[in-house]
Amino acid sequence: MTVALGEADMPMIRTRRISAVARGDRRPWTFYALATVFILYVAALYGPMICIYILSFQDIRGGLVFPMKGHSLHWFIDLFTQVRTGDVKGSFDRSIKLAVLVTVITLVVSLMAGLAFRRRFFGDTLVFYLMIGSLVAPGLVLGLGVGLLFQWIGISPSWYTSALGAQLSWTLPFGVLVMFAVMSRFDSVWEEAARDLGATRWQTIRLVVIPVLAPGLVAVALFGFTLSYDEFARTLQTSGSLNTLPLEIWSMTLNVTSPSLYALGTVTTIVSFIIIGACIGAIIVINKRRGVRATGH
Amino acid sequence: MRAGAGDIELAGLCKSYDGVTNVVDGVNLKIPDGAYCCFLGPSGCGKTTILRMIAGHEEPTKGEIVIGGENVAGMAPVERRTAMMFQSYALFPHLTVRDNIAFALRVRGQSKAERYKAADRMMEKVRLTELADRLPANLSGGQQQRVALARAAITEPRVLLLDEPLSALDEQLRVQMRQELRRMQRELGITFIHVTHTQLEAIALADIVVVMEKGKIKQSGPARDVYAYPRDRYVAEFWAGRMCCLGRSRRSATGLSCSPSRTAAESTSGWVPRHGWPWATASIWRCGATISNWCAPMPAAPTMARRRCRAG
Repeated sequence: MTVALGEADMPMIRTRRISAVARGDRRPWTFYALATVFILYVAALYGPMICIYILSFQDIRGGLVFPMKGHSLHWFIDLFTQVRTGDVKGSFDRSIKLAVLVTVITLVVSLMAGLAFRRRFFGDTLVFYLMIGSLVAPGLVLGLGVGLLFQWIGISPSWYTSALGAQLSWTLPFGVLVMFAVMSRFDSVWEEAARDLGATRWQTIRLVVIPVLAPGLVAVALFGFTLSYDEFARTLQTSGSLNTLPLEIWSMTLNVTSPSLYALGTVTTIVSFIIIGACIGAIIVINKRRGVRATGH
Repeated sequence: MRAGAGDIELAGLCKSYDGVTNVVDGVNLKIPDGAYCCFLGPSGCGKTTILRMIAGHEEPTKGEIVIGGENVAGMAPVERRTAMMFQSYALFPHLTVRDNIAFALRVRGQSKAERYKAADRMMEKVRLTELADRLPANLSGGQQQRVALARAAITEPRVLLLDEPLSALDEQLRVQMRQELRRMQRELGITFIHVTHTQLEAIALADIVVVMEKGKIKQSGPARDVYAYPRDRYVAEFWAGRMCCLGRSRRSATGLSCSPSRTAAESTSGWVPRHGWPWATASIWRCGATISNWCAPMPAAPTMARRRCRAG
């Protein structure tokens, strides 16, 4: 009886609250002031990029500046067919492969570091500061050093050896820092429970630790991927004879003077957004399946 | 002794984390098979550490743990055939109720059909069948506890270890779940060791009560005896809680006590309960009241004590 009453009460209270909000709809002037500032900020952030996206859709007469001359997909086709614009397809390929490689290594190492750093061990502070150190080291200098080191050892620098190493010095600290944040919400009592129920260490990691941490791991992977895909400074001196995409774009700015450069910008942005969207989608799906939002029933 | 029996013997058990102070300091205890044993004491008295050592999550610094006649030093929890129910239940958030319960069978390599059948049977036992596909986040505290209980029980342990299992529940549910725990213990017929700092839980549930202080056992024995004949002031005060006045009684045989048999003469320490055992359990089962009924009336406020006694 009381339960039924309680349930009947709930919608009434809810509607009352909503109507109260509706009546008190007059927002203070600060809301409008801050909203204006925010809109200006977003415009300043995305405006330049949007200009480039718009200009990439010009037709064959198109130039590098406004006004827009016609509209077509000419420069996108040009981008992938013309040889003079550079090795876009090849460098894109390399960049994606390198980013995947970097992502996988970052993910594995970050997870292991996250698990290890839960406990104090000998030299843990030193390891942590060394890691942060590589984050603040200037990228160009670091890349130069990695290139020199590889030459000295006798390994010819290329995108999958020295550039990989240089990029990892950038993505690993980030990955580990994100992992620390993720791990702070992980309760080791789950591991203990798994052990109590007879799981081996490996089963515990496979069946409990990784699934529980999954949304965080997706975030680490996303970090690793985007940092690698965009990386320029550290890759410049280490990629050897073949360019990654950012290096290719950079060299194109020196010798290509057509909107195909803009078309390239548009394409890479779309790729980035697809990847980010996929990651966020994955996190949402994981959380939804876990019923994080559905607090009631 | 029969194979797989759940009788436990702790011999000279010590645990020290820093090598200087003993968190658990020379504990000797025998718990018979199939008993419901409550470890009772303030937080930090080492009761949870003992539980974790029995479970195999921590190794004793010194001493032995014998379960069913076999020394379990260095054995994994499953080999010991113990199962633990954690304080916050530690349900796996990414698994449904059914998968949570079937977890132990999954890591043993049982097929999906096989382990789901066993899980379904277990869910029926704890009345969770209609919640099988829910995730732990969508369960109430009492339901979560039942899942934790089922998850631990499916390993067919001979000892079930419960670490303050009721502390996360509200008062009303606590009374309900106490009954549930007791029912499950009778049904499974295995040894339960239950750690708590709530006296009520111990009285309502336990066959054997172990009162601890600073890593040492102050008194252990059948709940009724420990209640009726506290060995010293510490134990008596602990039963009484903060709610109660204490005083040595010479009047308990005069009818003020609801249990005329419990007299000061019988109690070696001179501390006697204000009410007899049946009254205590009955009132606890009925309303889950705080124990203000224990101990002798304080000479300074006899009328209050008298009134309270009659009301009971």
